[in-house]
Amino acid sequence: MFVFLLACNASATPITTTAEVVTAITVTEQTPLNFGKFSVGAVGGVVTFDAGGTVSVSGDVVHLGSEVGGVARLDTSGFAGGTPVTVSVTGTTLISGGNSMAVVGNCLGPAGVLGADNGACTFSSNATTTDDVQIGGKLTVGASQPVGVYSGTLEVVAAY
Amino acid sequence: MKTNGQQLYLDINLKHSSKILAGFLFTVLLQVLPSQAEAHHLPWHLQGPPKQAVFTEVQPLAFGPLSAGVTGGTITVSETGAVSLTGTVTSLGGTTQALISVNSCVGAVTTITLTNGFLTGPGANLVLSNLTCTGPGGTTGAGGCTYVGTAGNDVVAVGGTVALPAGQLGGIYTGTFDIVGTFDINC
Repeated sequence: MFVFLLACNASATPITTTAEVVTAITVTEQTPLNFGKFSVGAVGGVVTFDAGGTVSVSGDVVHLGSEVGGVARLDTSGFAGGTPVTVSVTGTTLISGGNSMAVVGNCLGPAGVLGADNGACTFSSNATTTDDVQIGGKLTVGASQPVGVYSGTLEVVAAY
Repeated sequence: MKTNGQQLYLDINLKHSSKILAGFLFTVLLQVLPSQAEAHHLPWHLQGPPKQAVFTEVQPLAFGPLSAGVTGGTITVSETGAVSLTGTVTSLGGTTQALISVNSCVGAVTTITLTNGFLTGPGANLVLSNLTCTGPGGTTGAGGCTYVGTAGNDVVAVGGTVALPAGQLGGIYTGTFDIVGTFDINC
């Protein structure tokens, strides 16, 4: 009987615990970043696509209007609307055989805020659909850059 | 042969074992005498069953929306509500420590014991561990805490850790942990 009463002095109550696991953000490339076709002289220069889509050249680079190229377009999707999302871009090197050109990237989120070169842009995720992110960049063309088709990969990371 | 312990005890007394009977009476006296010095705390066997602690959940232990990231990790919500993360886990807010109201046994040393649990949802169970609590007066402990009951209800805050593996399926996960309270005196 003594043991029985002691047991009555203890009461166990379940307390609620909750967590919501959200899936990772997915990034889907819709169109690539394409610097188009251009020529370069003895000076060299820079081909710039800002993330908003505007193209410009410097030095003695001459863009061939028929193949200007364009910014990359990505879709991001993940957690529900209003969640802060950061997209960061890391530069790369375009390669053609033994030749190369350096690229820095920048991004433009749905809110229209342009990130720094090789930096990040931040926006609030869309509640009902994917978010459209544009990736621009600056391509440094060397003096008398050898002709060829150059390619490479920009790394884009999206995180909550 | 009697197999019930209580029946065996009574049987021995009925056989007039004077030593055992004397021992029994002595034991009763030992239980009564100290309590006579504390008039407001009679021994439990003289005033009926002890008052039972009643817990009321004021606020759940919530780990909110969170992402496992590449490697997974853990999220810890302390009794004060502070959030700490390990690995690649990202918290998206919405965290709260549990707040539990306990009916007070005034002056009693109240011992709270917490039992780890798990959360269930669309994927594998999430393990809830490292439960800690803080009672009135700021006494903190792992797996439980101890405090002296005050007038009215006491509030105990509880924190804990959830391990979130990489690749955990998304969705709502819910579960419980158990809380037990004992008093060192009767009320």
